[in-house]
Amino acid sequence: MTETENPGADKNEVERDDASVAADSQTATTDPTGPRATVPSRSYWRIVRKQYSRSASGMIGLIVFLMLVFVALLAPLLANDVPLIARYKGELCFPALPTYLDAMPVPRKIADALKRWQVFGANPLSTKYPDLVNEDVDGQWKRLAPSAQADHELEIKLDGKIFFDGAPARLPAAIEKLRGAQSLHCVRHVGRHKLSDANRDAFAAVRALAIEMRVTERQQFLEGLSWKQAITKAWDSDNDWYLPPPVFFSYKEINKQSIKLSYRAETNWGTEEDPHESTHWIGTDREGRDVLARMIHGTIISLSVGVVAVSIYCTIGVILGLIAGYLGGWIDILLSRITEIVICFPSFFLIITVIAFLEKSIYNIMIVIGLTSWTGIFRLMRGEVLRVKELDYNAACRALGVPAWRVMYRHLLPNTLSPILVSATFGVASAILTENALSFLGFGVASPTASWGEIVGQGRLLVAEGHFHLVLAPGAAIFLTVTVLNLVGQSLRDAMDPRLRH
Amino acid sequence: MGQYIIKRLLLMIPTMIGITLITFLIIRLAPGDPVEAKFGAVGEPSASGASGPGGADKTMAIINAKVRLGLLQRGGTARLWNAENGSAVADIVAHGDQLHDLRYSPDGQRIATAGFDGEGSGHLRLWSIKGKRQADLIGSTQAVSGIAFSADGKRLAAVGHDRITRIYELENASGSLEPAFELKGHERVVAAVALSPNGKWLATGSRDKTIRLYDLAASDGDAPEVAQFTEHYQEVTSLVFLDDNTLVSGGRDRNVFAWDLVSGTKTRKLEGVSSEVFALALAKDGAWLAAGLGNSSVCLWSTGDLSSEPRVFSGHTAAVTSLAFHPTQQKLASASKDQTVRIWEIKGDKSQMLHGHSAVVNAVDYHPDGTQLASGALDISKVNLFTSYFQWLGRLMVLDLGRSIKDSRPVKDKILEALPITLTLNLTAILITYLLSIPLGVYAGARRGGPFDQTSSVGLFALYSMPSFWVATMLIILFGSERSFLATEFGFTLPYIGLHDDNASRMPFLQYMLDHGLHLILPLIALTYASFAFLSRLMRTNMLETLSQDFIRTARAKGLTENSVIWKHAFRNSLISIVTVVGNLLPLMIGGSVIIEYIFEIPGMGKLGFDAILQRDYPVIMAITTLTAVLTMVGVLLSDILYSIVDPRIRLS
Repeated sequence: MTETENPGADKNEVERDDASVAADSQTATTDPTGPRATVPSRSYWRIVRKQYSRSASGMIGLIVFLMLVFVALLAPLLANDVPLIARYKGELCFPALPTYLDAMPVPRKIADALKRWQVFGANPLSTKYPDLVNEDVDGQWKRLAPSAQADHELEIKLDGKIFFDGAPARLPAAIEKLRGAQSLHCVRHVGRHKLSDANRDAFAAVRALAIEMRVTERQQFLEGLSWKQAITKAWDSDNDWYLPPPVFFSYKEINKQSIKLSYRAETNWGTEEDPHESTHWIGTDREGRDVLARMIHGTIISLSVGVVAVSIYCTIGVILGLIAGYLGGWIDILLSRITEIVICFPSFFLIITVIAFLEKSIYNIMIVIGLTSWTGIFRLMRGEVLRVKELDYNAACRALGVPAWRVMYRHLLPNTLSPILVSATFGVASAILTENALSFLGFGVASPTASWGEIVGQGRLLVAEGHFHLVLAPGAAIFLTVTVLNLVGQSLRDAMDPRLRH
Repeated sequence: MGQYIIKRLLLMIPTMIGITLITFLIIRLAPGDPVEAKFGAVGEPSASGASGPGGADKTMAIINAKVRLGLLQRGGTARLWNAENGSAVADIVAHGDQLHDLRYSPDGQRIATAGFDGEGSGHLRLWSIKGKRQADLIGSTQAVSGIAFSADGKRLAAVGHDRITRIYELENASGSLEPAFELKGHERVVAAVALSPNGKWLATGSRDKTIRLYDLAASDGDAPEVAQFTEHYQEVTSLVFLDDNTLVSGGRDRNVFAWDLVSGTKTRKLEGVSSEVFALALAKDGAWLAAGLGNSSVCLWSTGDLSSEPRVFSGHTAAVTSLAFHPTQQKLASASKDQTVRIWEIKGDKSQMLHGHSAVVNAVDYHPDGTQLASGALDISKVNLFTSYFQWLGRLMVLDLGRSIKDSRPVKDKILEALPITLTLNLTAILITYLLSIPLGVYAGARRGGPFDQTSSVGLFALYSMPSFWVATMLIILFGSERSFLATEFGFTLPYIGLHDDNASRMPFLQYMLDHGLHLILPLIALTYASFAFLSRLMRTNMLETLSQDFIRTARAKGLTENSVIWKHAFRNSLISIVTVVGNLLPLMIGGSVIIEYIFEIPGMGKLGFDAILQRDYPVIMAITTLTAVLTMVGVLLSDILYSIVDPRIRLS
């Protein structure tokens, strides 16, 4: 304890090596068990790390939280309706991989870009995946900036050669050629204007054809069956084998035959003689979707909303707080007044109002929570900056003529971050609560995306009938996540400022 | 202290403006149109065949609703056109609400407009042809529907919804002009008025199906009613004098009659009229007579040969409401409900269309020299964002919260209905919270690290992390559901829907209160547990902080009993921040909890707001948001003041 008696004094050492502080601040929260420096260092963040690792509840919380992150990251591999690995008709394939990006809340453009990468999309093995119809063909279409040379709007390359250059009359012949092509590459020259009507039709036709070609390919391999059907009906048990995910249901898979609104519903997709049996561990919802699979996928939504929303509002709050606190004057007055206005709004009501007006989307939730909740961070940051600003090293900086942005970025920011970090941890918990409350009220993610709150909301309607599996388990998941985050936050606060500990 | 409060209150003003501005912008910039959603999409053919007259009604209803919301404004606008090329010259926003009729004076110097001006009295006005207001002709308290100038331009006759015909003497008219005399007699709204060219006869047509004729040239100044024509069997909508002794009348009964004033009899029924007549017009030299019909066509007769079939001009897409001949007799202008004015060439077959009005065009008239054309309509225009914001702010100042889009009830009534429910619920919850959490916090804090402290800390921590919607649902599962633990073991469940049973109104008082109390149990638990956990933890922390201070050590050193130390010294001092939290509870008390009220179907403020959001009932959402924001501000001020009262060490500055 001796080395932590006075962490404030140690803070002055921080600016000796700012770079290592920045690096440490990231590892301090995520990796407290990492290798300790052999030479005793008195860096503030090292002390925090050491202090933190002494708190049992904090460590348990952190471990559980990391496990939740792990579940979220691997959700499509933990609960899916296709095998992780399968050998079928003599071919080895990884059918779960291409579904990974579809299940993750990744913006479409990024997902499209990633799909070009071997593992996620263009992998020859993964094209044997049955759900290709759902895969976005737009991934193959490239938007180009308007160029002076492009005198035609639409250009389709077949096996590397241009065979359609935007003259609609040539389209029928072109489509005939397209059948049986090995590779298809379309370039749509998007100028300031939209596509002409004829070319828009062409675009749609080629697109439809591209989808159709892929469907054909799929049917050749799985003969029109889904993987589960293939495993049940067309399985050659001598040569074929598969490795199912732990929960062999996807979050949107509807199992109409086995809707069972209680725990441990029986298998759905197997027939009586079927050896490859699976069970709904927590039952199904009304539509016959497996609750456990949906809960696993709900982890992604909850954690990503929590983290992204908090990142958004921390960024806003920290930047505005730095500016207001350091520059002062009328900027400070203006920003403080704006903050006062935002504080006055009933935040949850405001969030529901705005969310109700927008389309259902996880990104909207993130952004709205982010834009409405920054005031706490702003006030905290401003107060911290006002405190730190008066310290000697800032006077030294000013005397040396260091520009304001550099003082803010290099000196004030690292020295004011610790309360922000604590506040952000609690913030993630409350953002997760908000997201789930929104989903509970029906303003959350769009179906069929799963969210814990949405499952509880469905369960509420079944309460009168005595089924409470839809309420108990997801609610417990929310409770666990929030508790764990609160524990981490509390331990972090105690580690950073032992005077606050009670 | 007083100075400080005043300063804070003054500082609230810019915050208030910011709050209202943001609320307003969020609502106004939200995509989608709640009003149109309420009435159903316009222009789409629906099962009930709404494309017909129902469609027009619906459009009007939507416009009315939007005007009420302040999204649109309307005003009776007279638009002046260049008669040669059909370009708009000027607009006169003549009346606040409706414009029914307009006429150029025979000398071409003035325009008279008649309409409705809302609550004011400017239902009839005189303007210069440049658009400058010259006089208000007062007298009527209701809408004026028809006007007529005498041929010499010295007199103006006006009829309207108050069933009285007024005659004004226009010489040196300025300011506000009282009518010279009034003529009574009609029993219902008077729709049409005409003056004979020699100024002797005045004819009025009314919804009471009669035409009355007055003699203005009677000797002693008053104008006796000399005849009544009663052959129309529906509203008489238009009148015109063919000559000094012949009157032509048109009505909704699809008849155009000609009357001989000398004998007082009907002389003719004009043929070829296939629909309601809304307008009649006579060319200046009397050569042509035109009628505007409800089937959107215009009939034209030569006055020399009234028995022949009329020439029909068709092209309008809705009823023709008004007609005017060009002084040269070459052209005929017609105004229509299809929001356009058309100019027809009598000899040729060309027509010209004047666009620009945004609603039914009610009146059209040519300037006597034929260079200018005036048309009058109830124009609908979008309210400028700024203007409508300030209008809303103005209404807010006088606590006019508007009416709900959904059921048109005043928002204030709805809020006053929901407020007592939320207030009762939340006040009880807060009371329970304080009663439980203060002793618990003190006890745990006083025995820091003891078994009670440790278990209660863990318990409170867990309570604090539970999502309220989950707790509420679990409460229903455990105690409310028919298949819950309570039901299976004791055959008893707690009610969880609403505040009363369905048959509560028939219960005796005690049973009613018991029923009410039972309904409150589950919502109260759900409302209380989180703030209970928060407050207990706060109380414990405060207690620990106080106990570590020097004066406690002094008290103990004095040899005071532990009870005395804790309750007299530590407890009182640690209450400070607990008391000030009350200020922050104010908005919560009024705003209510959306989630709890939604789950337990309690018709309080939270449910009101939630339903308003679902139905996009903008006035309600705006009212609740603003109300809660204001209360938050007041709450912050209140807690600051409380702070300084409870803790004299803190000075307000």
